[in-house]
Amino acid sequence: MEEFAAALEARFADAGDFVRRVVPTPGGTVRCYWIDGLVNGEDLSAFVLRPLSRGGEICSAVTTPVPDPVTGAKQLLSGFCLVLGQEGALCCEVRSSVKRTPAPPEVESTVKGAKDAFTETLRINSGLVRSHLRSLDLRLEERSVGSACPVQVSVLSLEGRCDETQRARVLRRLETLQVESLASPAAVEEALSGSRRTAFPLLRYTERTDKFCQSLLDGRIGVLVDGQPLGYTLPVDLATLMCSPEDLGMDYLAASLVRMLRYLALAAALLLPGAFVAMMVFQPEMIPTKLLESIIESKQGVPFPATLEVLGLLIAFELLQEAGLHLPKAIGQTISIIGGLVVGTAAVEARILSPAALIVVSAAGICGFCLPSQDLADAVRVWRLGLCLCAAAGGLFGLTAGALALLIHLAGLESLGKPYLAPFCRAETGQALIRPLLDRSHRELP
Amino acid sequence: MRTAAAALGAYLLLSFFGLNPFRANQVETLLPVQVLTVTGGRTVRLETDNGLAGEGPDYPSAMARLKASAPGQAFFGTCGAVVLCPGARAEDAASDPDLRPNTAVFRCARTPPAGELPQRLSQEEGGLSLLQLRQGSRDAPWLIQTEGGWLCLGAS
Repeated sequence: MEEFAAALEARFADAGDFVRRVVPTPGGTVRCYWIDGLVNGEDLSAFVLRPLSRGGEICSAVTTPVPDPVTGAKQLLSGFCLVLGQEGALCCEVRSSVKRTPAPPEVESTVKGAKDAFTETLRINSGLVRSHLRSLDLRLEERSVGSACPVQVSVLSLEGRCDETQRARVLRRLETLQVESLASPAAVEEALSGSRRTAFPLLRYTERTDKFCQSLLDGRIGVLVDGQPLGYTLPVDLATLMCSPEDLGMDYLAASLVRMLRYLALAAALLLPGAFVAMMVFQPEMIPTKLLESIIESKQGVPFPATLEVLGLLIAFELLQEAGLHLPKAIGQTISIIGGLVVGTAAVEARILSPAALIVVSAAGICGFCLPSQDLADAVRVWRLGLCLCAAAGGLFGLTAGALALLIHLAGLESLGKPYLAPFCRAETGQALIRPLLDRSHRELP
Repeated sequence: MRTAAAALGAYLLLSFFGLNPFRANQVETLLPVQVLTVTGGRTVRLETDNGLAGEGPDYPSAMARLKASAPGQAFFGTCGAVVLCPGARAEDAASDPDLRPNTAVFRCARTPPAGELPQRLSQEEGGLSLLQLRQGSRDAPWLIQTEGGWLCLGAS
């Protein structure tokens, strides 16, 4: 007992929140240890300390013997109280109930979807999924990942719907992962999708429980990480990233139209600045004469060539977006207004920029915001800049070459062994663009 | 990364030796031409709808003078129609590399004011294209001035 206590206390020698208490009992004394802040003081007093001092039994749903000080230390970090007596050590769960309750999603706003977004607590998140998917087929396999700061990771899947090979692959990746911790979302994404040489997302994250559950129903593998208010689903492909769960809440025609609009927005966000540069610099004959005359008139007095204008505006747009992200919400909006409206208008009036370039870059930016996946929008931002450079170097030929390179790159990507362009490389393009009608059996009301 | 660097290197090398097939324009200096009239005779006279003009003993020299006298860059990529007036040789226009192959070709018994034609000729869809002229066809529609304006005869 003395050795156990000494080892345990040595481990927490520098911890100010480590509490040690000697409790007199009718049969002698026991030592109790816990971490202040991780345990519920009321429960600790009522169900552990008081029964011990009165010679009664500890009342806790989870009470397990502790074989060694290392295990004991880990349990203390999980919100357990360790009771050390002459006969051995026990740990009992008295976790603090101070947790964030599920709230409406902040980033992925929804009109018709569920308003219970994921929180930072794994168990709450898994409970939310269970409450949405009351199915006996739902599997929830847990692994501890991280050598320095172990984190619980849950792999969720629906038996009979998911690809067992993919599920095994995810579990294997987690088991063989050699990382110190999974503290940041980036670490999780890198760990699950592998070290990737692409800007395109190879897994999808969401804070919305309905989106996560829909992915599980679609046969994907879900991953929840303790401490992160997000759920990851994989594999993904381009069509998945272009879908929004809101599509299923709309009628067939409206949903299909919106989905096709999103693809148009994707093309515009990627190609519009590059096409503008190519046509302005190398192929002005592609622009209708009246429009060309109007552009020429607006360009009079502007000191920069079209290429520099567009590239400068693209970079300014990225800077504004970055500034808006890092500032508090209220100031972020002010920055957007000042940057977008005031500076933009002033630059046009001062003939530093031409209105056409400003309109093109703004339109491309707005189209980028139409994409349902933020990760995909980020990848589009990177490639947009690259395609713009290609257009500046070789006009429409350069732009076409860049677009082909992008297509080749996308065709070479895989997510858990599934091709990234899967719905387009098989003859399922129609289903990617148009939301399919539900089966007759689902449509007919009883 | 290596592929991108190789592509960039190849592009720079082509540019260095003047083999880059792409010619960049300063868009603000462009003077887009929509209609070009060609009048022949002892001297060839070229006029455009945006007020540019050039004369010379032959078509190339007239074109060179037109370009030299322009306050910016005369841009023929937008030229939609060439009007061959008396004395003009169809082969001259046909061999001009600045004109697009689908430029419409018209004939006219007298030299019309080029500035009046763009709106009228943009309504004509048929007729002879420069490509067809290059291939030997000679049936260009005729422009005739009537009281109501310019009439096109022979266009489909």
